Amino acid sequence: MAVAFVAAVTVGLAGLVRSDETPAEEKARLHKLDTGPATIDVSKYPSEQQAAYPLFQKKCAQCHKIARAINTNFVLPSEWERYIKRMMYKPNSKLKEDDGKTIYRFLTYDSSVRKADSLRVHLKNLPAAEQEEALEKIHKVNPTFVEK
Amino acid sequence: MGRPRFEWSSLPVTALISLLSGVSLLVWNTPASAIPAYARRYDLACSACHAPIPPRLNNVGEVYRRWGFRLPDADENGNLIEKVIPAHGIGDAASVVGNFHIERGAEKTPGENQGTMTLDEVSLVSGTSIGDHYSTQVIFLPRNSEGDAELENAEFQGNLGKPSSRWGLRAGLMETNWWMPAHDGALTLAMPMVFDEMAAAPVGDFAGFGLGVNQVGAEAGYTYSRLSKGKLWSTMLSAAAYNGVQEDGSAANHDVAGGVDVLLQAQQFFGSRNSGGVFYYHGRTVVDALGELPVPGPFSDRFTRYGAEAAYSPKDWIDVDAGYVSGKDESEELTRDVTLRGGYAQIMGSPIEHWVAIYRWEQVDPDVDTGGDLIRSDVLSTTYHALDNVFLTAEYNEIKSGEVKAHTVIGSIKLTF
Repeated sequence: MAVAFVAAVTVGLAGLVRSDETPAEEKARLHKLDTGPATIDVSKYPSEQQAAYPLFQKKCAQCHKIARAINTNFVLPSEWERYIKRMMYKPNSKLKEDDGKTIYRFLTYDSSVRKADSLRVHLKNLPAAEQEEALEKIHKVNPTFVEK
Repeated sequence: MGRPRFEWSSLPVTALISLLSGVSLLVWNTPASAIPAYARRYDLACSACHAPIPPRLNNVGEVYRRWGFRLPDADENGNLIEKVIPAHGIGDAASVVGNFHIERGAEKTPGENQGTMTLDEVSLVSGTSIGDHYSTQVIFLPRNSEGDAELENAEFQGNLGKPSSRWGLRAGLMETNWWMPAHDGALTLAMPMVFDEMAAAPVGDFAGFGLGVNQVGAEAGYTYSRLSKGKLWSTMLSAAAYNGVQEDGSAANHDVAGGVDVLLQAQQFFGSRNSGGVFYYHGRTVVDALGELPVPGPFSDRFTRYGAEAAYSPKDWIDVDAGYVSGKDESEELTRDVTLRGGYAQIMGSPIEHWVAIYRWEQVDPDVDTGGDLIRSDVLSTTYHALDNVFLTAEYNEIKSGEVKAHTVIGSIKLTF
């Protein structure tokens, strides 16, 4: 009985350790992303992007829910570059450079179609030189994207 | 074995199910998060720390645990850092695990049913980092396989250093060699005999030393880790002093024979889930301390165990494990040395996601100087990780001991919340 009591108290204490609110806020934000739509309708995407979709689904669900990557507000090529590079650096990500490039092209294309309005707003907020650079990268994967 | 069986209609079952449901409700403090505590806390998929399925850890999971529940991660430049998300409630810190067990043996006792269905272990697993340098882990079993309450593990850990080079000291009732995938992360219901918590055979009136037994003591360890382009390498060295075991093979909660048992370990983790390690154990116990045997004791038994274990995954869907143990008991009771030797080899395939199939061959010779005591076992096991928190296992185990052959078929449903 004494053992059970000690165990229960220790478990309880272990469970109630708290820190500042920042991680909790991050957790709430990620939870919102994770519970959103978990698939993308790629039936009208070019064959290159249709072929890349299963790779994106497999690799990007290794550590987190695929819905997180689908529902994030990242839209700019530079954001995807940075994010994918970070994922490649993660221990045990098993994301090779070639796969990373394929996923980058898929997500840049997807942002230019599915999140086109958000992408236009983000582009408008960029300095002119960065805007031009971003447009160039977008047009490499989606030549039909219209800025305005 | 005379394991007590549970009657489904009995009051304790109702009480246990109520308790389980109650704790589960506490655990479900966030909607749609029916996954165990650590994944809940870090918002990660099981596969971030487990491969091919839980509870077997991949190398990220091993380092996470060694660092005291701090996740190895990378910064913007790919340098190794630790990510810490402390528990924000009981649901982030503790998981409940319940096992239901259906067993069918070959030997039938007259008047008894050949098959049995039991509520096996129920465990409450809790672990968290505390502040920058401390962590704790508790595994409490409201009901163990014998039907009793048991504190299986309660340890406190302190860490010093940076992620790449870290010193640690842990103490309490500890899991001694948890880095071994076939021991701690076993996907089979039966553990390899040479690493089990009970010895394969007694040495005189000493029940024998089981390498898998949790013990009371303290361990100092050093972990060197590096990360290169998403590949984590880690070297772990440790030296531990334990109270050792009593004559019945269970952990001693005080010093039973003067001095301490010593365990030295070295492990290397490389790639996604490859590992290898060696260990050396020197222990002692006292048999018949009260002088109650026909030839009265006390008798001392000093023993050593040493060996190695390795796990290698040549492809994502396949794992090969092997382990070897040898050692000697200097038995005062038998007035001779008893040399033990044993090992196992295991292959595990996961051709379909969430499903694994395992074959293990193993053998133990508890006394190499005595003939006819060789124990051989073949284990065929399969587990389907049906949902994040549901595991279905079926296992066939054939054991040949001397000329006697026995087999069991076991089905298990494991629920984790």
